[in-house]
Parts: sequence; structure tokens; C-alpha cells
Amino acid sequence: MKIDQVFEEGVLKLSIKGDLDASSAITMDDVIKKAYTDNQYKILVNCSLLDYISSAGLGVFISYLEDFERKDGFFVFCGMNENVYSVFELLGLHNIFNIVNSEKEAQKILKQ
Amino acid sequence: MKYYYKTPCSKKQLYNIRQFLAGHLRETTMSSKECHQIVLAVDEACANAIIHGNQCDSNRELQVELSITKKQVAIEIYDVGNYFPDESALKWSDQNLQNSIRNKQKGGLGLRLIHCIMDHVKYYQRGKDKVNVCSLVKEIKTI
Repeated sequence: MKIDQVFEEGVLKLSIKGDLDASSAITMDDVIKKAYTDNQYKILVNCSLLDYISSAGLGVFISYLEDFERKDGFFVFCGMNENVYSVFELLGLHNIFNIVNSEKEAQKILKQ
Repeated sequence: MKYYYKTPCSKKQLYNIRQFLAGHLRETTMSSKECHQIVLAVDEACANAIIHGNQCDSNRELQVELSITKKQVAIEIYDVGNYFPDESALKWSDQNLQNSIRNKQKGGLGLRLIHCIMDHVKYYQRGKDKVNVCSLVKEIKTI
């Protein structure tokens, strides 16, 4: 898995490529932890190149959700393929996280 | 048809296990979404066995046995670790999800996925060597 990071206009954009599973979740955890430490609380997660996600990957976002919300921050996900979206759906997380189709829509929500 | 995959207990092997399963599940009449979900359930069960049962000790082995018939897909995962799921964790509710968020838990969601996806889930020990068996079955729906 690879994560490209760009911080621009108060939004940290993470573009994930590959598989976010039990093996790579630690890398994602480090990235989110650093964002929090650096006071970057608005996170755009671009999933258009994310092939696969398991509960370990989702667990990273769940575990930081409250911390970010307490700082008026949040995660917005975009560009998910059908399989990745179905994992959110199975766990009921599509009702908890902001999930939109395009990066443009995600930016709009984050800059409100 | 029956297929076998033996691998060291390493998290890095999860990708290869998924590739093994996905390759053979493509031979069935199931949709790609159903195939993906079965791969996900098995990935979760293998991750639990590797991480919690065998502490990622790559000197130990995990074996995945995949059986495909017209009526069902059955997977058995064998290892000699010490992981057995907490029965109470199998009774999932929305409250558990709220607890995971409140307690900043990174784990515990895998079991829910396994139970959401598979039609039958059973954990037991077999033989003198006390081999752990995780048995997962998905019925194939006929139109």
C-alpha cells in the first residue's frame, strides 16, 4: 500500500493505493496519528486507487473518529469502488462517515 | 473441487491468501461482489489466527482449504495457535460499533464481518494435536 499526502488550504488529502489490510494498517495509523499531532484535522481520503480494505484498515479511522470530531475535524472519503464501499456498508459505517463520489464533492464538504 | 494453500503465519501473507481464494472463486457462478465478500471473511479469519493465535510467528504455519461445489463454498482454516473468539463478541449489535468508536478500538470488527458474510461459522479443535479449525460456509444461491 502507498499513501500520497498533500496538505493544502487546511485539508490533508490522502490518496491510498493498493490494499489496506491487517498488514498495512499500521502505516495508515502512523499517518493519521501524525496528522492529529500536526493539528491537521480535516482529512480527505481519496480511495480511487484503493483496491481492498479490511476491518483492520477501517479500525484505524474508527479509532480516531472521536478525537478528530472533538477538534471540529472529520474524514471525508471519495472515489470508493463497489467492493470497498460494501465493507463500510456491512459494518454500518456508511452512516457514520462522509462518503461521496468525487474529490470535488469531498473538497466542498471539507471547506464548508 | 478442493484447493489447499499453506503459508507461514505472517501478516504479509494475507495478500497471497486473498489472491489464492479470488483466483479459484472466479470459477464459480457467484457475482464478483459475493466473491469479494468471501475473500474478505477468510482474510479476517486468517488475520485473527495469524495475529492473535500465532503472534505473527512465521515459523508456524496456517493452512487454508477451499472446497467448491455447485451448492456451496466451504473454507477451513487450520493452525495450532491459541486464538478462539470470545462467544459474546459474536452477538453483535450497533451498541458494539458505538463502543468501538468510544473506546478507540481498532479490532473486533472482523468477527462481525465474518458473521455478516458467511452462512455458517464454526470454531473447534480437532485431534490429539489440538489443531484449531475455523470452518466457514457460504451457500451458493441458484436463480
